[in-house]
Amino acid sequence: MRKILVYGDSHVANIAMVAPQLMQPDARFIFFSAPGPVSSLVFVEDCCLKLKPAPARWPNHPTIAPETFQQWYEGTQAQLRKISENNDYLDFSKFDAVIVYGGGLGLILNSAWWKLSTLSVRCSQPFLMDMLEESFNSIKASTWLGELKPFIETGGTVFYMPPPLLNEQGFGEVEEADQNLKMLRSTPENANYCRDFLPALSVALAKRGVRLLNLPDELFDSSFRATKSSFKFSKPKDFAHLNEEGALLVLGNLIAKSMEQLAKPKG
Amino acid sequence: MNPYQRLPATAFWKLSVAQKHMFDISDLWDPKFNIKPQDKVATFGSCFAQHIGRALNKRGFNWLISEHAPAGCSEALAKRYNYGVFTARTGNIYTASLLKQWTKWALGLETPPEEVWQTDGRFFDPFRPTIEPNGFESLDDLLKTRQHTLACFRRAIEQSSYFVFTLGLTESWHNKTHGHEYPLCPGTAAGEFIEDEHVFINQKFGDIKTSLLEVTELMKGVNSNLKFIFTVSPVPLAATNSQRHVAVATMASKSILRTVADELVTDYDDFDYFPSYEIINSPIFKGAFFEPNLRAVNHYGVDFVMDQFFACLGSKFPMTATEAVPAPAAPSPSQEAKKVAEAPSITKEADEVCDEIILESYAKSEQA
Repeated sequence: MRKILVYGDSHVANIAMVAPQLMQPDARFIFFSAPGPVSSLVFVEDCCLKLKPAPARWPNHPTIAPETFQQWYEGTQAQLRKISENNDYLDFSKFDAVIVYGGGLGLILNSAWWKLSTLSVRCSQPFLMDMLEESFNSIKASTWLGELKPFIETGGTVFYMPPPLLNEQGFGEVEEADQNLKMLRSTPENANYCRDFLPALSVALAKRGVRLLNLPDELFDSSFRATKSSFKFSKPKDFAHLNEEGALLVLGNLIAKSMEQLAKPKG
Repeated sequence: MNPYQRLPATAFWKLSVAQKHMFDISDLWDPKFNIKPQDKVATFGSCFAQHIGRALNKRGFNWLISEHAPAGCSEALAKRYNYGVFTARTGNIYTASLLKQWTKWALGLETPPEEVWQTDGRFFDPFRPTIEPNGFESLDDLLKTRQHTLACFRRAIEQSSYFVFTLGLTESWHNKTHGHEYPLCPGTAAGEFIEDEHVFINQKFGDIKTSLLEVTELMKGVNSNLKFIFTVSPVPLAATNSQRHVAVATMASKSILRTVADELVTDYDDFDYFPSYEIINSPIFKGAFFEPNLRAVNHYGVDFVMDQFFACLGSKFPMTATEAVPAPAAPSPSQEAKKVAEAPSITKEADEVCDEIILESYAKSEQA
């Protein structure tokens, strides 16, 4: 039986909720999620996933109290302890593959994905490639990729699946700097822009030994620039996460595509 | 009282030039239009046009960029792919006829020809051969990206209040069979030169004037309020195919372009001319604004030209000056002179994107 680790931010928790409904006879998927601010404390060292100690003071946040941050941290710590059977770290060599899902590989990439997928401009493929190279060379992304490199170099398999796009209600709430997200009311020809980005992302990741798992096409609205409203999470103002139906769709996609790729020879 | 007795100081060389330090010379332009900071200004043309856009932006004016680089990409990357150089990613538009060609395509009056250049598996757009640093990956990529630029170019015409166009060259290359014009001679930046197919035309006064009148008419057809500001690039020709000395060809070309602009500005209310060419090239300034190669304009020259632009605008329309972001304090003449004198012998060519410079690489040394 294959053993596959899925780790990342809150998006992992989102799909882990429906995992019992998609049990696999020939694979065991293990989920580790760290909520947004705590995910920055997750790191990989010597092919093991670890959690940095909690900071003496949590950063000021307009809506989240320091006590909440601390609770999230303790929950993440407990989760790691449980999965690792009290080792406090997850040894990648014990897994057939590692899947980073959500805002992993650096938040810069996450941000680039959202922005690029909602572009109202048509860029050439070489430009997209260079833009991705720039994203990957950012400190956050290069740190993550650098940490994963020893595992990849010893034959480890790493997949990356980007987080879902915002749903359509998210566009009224975005910061001024992200106003291009508002361009979702797009012209039909814009539908392809997001698709242009995926091959470039795939090539850029492959150069670093990471394989891309595309999100399922059915997740997106007709413009291919937002998550379909039918997959909207019920919590008010949560524009990013998926309801049960959406989580089932994405997890099913993750399982099917990763298993299919693992069945293929590497290279 | 004879007419000369009523003239202002600027009409007299002695008062406005000879008795002044060159950096104190002012009032070189009497702007026709009150360009307000909120007015959208599109900029296209020869290499020098890009400085106008940047300067507008720096002074808090509304430089219209209709083709943006995606949010999140660095300034360096955007520049490498020619975003934010002109209002849309057309690359250099050196001639009035080339501007007309872009306009007809953008307005759907003509369709771009199918011609595409291929080198080492990469695809190059004959109408903006250096727009991508290494060409396009596929024909589809090239065509869709150009289509997007054409849409953005059209948007620039529709949305702007002022269209600044810098006239650069009279010398041009055309396709003999289909008539279309190239911004650069085929076989230089990309493509292959075919003797029977590619023809050289050194455009004459009448051709240029007709092209400018036609293109401005076309643009006003979709934006009747649009006004035009012409400039002539002060940058000499990198090379000439006119069989004359390049210095003579340069003077001839610039003089023709300058004359066309002068006639249009005199005859039409919707046209104005800003004298960047005169400021850089006039003997008043003793060549101080050129790099040692006497072709590239140094950034002191660019700054001086643009300072004049805003100073003249503010002087005639004081409201404009107060609404805009104040320019950095102007240095005194002695400071300015010191800056120029101390400029390193090898300086950047004011970060200019100029396709025509490729022609320099074809120069053989006399010893060869």
